[in-house]
Amino acid sequence: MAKEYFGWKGRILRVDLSTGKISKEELPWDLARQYIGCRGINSKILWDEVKAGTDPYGPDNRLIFGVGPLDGTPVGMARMSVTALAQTRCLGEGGIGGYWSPELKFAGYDNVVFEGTADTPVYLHIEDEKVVLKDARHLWGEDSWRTEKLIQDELGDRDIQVRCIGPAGENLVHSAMVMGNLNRAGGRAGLGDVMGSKKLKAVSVRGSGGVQVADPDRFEKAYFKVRELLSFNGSMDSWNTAWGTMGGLVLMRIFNQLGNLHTRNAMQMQFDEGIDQCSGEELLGKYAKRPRGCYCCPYPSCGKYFEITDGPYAGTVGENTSALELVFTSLLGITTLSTAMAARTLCNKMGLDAFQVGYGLSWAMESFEKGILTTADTEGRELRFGNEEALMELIPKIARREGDFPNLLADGVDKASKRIGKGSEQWALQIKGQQIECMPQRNFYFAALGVGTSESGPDHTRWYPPYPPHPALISPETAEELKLDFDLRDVFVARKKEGKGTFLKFMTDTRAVIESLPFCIFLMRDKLNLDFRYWLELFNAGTGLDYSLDELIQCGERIMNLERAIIVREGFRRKDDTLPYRMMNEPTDTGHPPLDQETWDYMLDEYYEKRDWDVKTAVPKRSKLEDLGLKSVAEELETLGIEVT
Amino acid sequence: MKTINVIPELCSGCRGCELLCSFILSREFHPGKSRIRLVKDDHQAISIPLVFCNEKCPQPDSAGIPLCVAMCPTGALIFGDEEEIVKKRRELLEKRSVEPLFRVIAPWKYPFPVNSRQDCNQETS
Repeated sequence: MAKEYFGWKGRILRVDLSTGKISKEELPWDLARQYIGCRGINSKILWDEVKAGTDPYGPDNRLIFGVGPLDGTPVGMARMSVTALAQTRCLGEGGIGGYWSPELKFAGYDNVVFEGTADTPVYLHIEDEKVVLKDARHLWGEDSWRTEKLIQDELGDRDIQVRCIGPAGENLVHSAMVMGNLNRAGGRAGLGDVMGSKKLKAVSVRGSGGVQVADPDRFEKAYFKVRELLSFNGSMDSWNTAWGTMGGLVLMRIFNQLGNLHTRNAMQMQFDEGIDQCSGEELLGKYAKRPRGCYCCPYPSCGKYFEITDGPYAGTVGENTSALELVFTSLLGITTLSTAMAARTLCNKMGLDAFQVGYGLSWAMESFEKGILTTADTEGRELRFGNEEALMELIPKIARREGDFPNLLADGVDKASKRIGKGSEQWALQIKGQQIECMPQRNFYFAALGVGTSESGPDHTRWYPPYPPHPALISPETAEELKLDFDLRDVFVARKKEGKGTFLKFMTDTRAVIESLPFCIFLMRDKLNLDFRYWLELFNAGTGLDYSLDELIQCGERIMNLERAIIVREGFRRKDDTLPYRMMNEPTDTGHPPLDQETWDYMLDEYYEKRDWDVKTAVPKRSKLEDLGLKSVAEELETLGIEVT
Repeated sequence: MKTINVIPELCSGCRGCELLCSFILSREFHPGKSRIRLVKDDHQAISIPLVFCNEKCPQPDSAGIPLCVAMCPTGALIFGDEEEIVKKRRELLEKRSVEPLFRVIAPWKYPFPVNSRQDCNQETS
C-alpha cells in the first residue's frame, strides 16, 4: 500500500518531451525523508539522472520543478525550486516565489521532471489528474507577461499559474530566467536557457485540492509563533519593518553608507551623486501604487506595483521586489530611478537576468571608457557610464541576440571578456562563469566567502542574510543549547578572516533546509535566523516525522554535500572557489584593501576543514559522505577517476 | 453590527486570509473550503478579497477580531461597525496624503508613529 503522506503529496510527475509520454510516479519515502523536498529532492534527482559531462542543452539534461512539504500551507510562501545542469556546468538552481507552487500541491504533485527535447514548442498544462502537453508555437517569441496572459485567456481561468520563459530563454541567452507572476524569477545560473533548449515555453498549473498537515493544532501553534517573530509589533529585528515595507531597495542607501555599493563596475563603492534620486523612499513617494506579496507573505509590501509617471518611460508599469534597481543605477552610473525601473520591467518581460545585463554592460562601459572597446565594436553606441538610452535599447536586443554586439553580451560577461581580451578580463565581475550580484566582497568577508564557494555560481540565497542579527536575540545559554559553534560577536566583524568558514557551514546547511521546506530566505529574521527549533517544530508537525534538531540540520548538510558532488563531477575544484580579479587585487576607492589571496586561503581552509572536505581539492571526504548516507556518491566519484580521500 | 470590510487598494493579494480561513474551518489548507475568495488579476494589479461570511469566526483573537482581519499584513481587511469603518477609511486617506508609506500599509498596522516627510525635512534643514 502506498504510504500516507502529510505535507508532501507523494507523487512526482515525469514528462518526456521527446516522446510526449507523461507518467505519474510515487515519491520514494526515503527521498522525502532524507532530502525534505524542493531544492533537496531536485538536487538528488539531478545527481541520479544526469551523468557527468552531459550536454546542458541536450535531451539528457533534466529540468526539475520542485515544491516542498510545507508548500500550500502559509509557511511555504509559494517558494519553489527549479534545478538543471546549467550551461556553465555548475549546479543550476533557482528559487522562485509568487503563486505557482501551492497550485501544484493542490493539483497533487511534489515535483515535475522534464527530460528529452520537444521538436516544436510546447507547454505543459496540469489540472489535477489531467496533464497535457499543448502546442506553444503561437506563444514562441512572446514576452513572459503576454505568455502568461495568453495561456490564462486560452484556458479561460485567470487563477491558472504560469512559469514560462521569455525571448531570452528561447534564444539560449546566458543566464536566462524562468519567469512568472510578472516579476518572480529564478535560475540565474541559466535555467531559462535550459528550458528554451527543451522547447518548453511554459508550465501552467491549476489545482482544486488541499494540503493536509499531520498535526493541525501543533502546526497552527508553531506557525503563529513564526508570525509573531516576523510581525512589526512582536519582533526585535528592525529589518522586519525595513524590508517589509521598502523591499530590497532599502539596501541602496545602506550599502552606500557602508561603502558597499558597486558603482561604475565596482570601480567605486559609493554613489553619492545619485543616491537621493534612486533610493527606496523615492520609489515609495513617487511611483508606488499598491502593495504586493507572494503567497501568504506576512510582510505587507516587500513588493510594490509601480507606475512611472515622469520621464521618457512614463506609463510603464511593473513590480518592484528585490534590489534589481541597484544594477541599473549605481553600477552603470545612471541617476534616474525611473529608467532603472523601466529596465527592470523590460528584463522581466524578456526573461533576462538583470545582473547579467547590468554586469555585462558595466564591463562593456568600463572597457569603452578605457579604449578597449570602440564604436566599431559597439556598432556605433557611445557606451559611457550613465548612458540610459543604450541600456534600454540593448535589453530586447540581447534577449533576441540581434546584432553582433548584443550577441556578444548575450553570452555573458565571462565569455565576452575572453573574446575581447586585452586585459578586460580583469574587470569582468564573474565567478564560475557567472556574473556576480551586488554583494560586497572586499569589505565584507562573510559575503565574499559565501558567493565564492557557492555551488550554483555566485548566489546570495544560499547563505542569506549577510548582516549580523542583534547579539541580544540569542543568549549565550541558548547558543549553547543549540550547539552553535561560533561566537556571534566575532563572526560579524566585517573584515576579520577568523570564524567566517565555521559560520558559513552553519548558514549554508541551515539555508539548504529552509529552501527545501521551503520558506522564503528573505524572511530569515529575528530568532528564526539561528534558532532552528521553530523550523523543527513546523517540520515535525507538518509531516508527522519525529526528527531531532541534529537530524534536520543534517538533511541540510546532506544536500550541501550532494550539490558539491554534482559540481565536483563536472570538474570544479578549490581553484574555482574564487573571487573576481578586481576584488582580490584592487583596493576600493573608499580605502579598503583588496581581499588578498592569503586571507582568502585562510577562509577557504577553515570552511573546507569544518565541512570535512579535502582542503586541497574541495572534494568531500569519503568518511563525511558515508556519515551522511552518501556512500554511493563516493563510489560514483571514484569510478569517474576522482580521488576521494 | 460589526462586519468585515475590505479596502481593496491595500490588498497585497497574498491570499493569506483565504487559506487561513479554510484551515480554521476544516483543519486543512484548502482554498475551496474557505469563506473568502480572492479575485485576482496580476496583469491589471487587481486583487480583491470577497468575504462570504456570517461574521462568526471560530477562532477570533482575544479582542474578538476575526482571524483573517487580525492576520492581514497590510490592513486591507477591517472589522467594525459603520462608524469605525468610516473612521478607518478617513484615517487612511489623511495619513496617505502626507506619508507615502501608507500607500502600502495601513497606519493602524504600522508599529510606531512615523513623522511625515515634511517633518523629516524640517529637522534636517
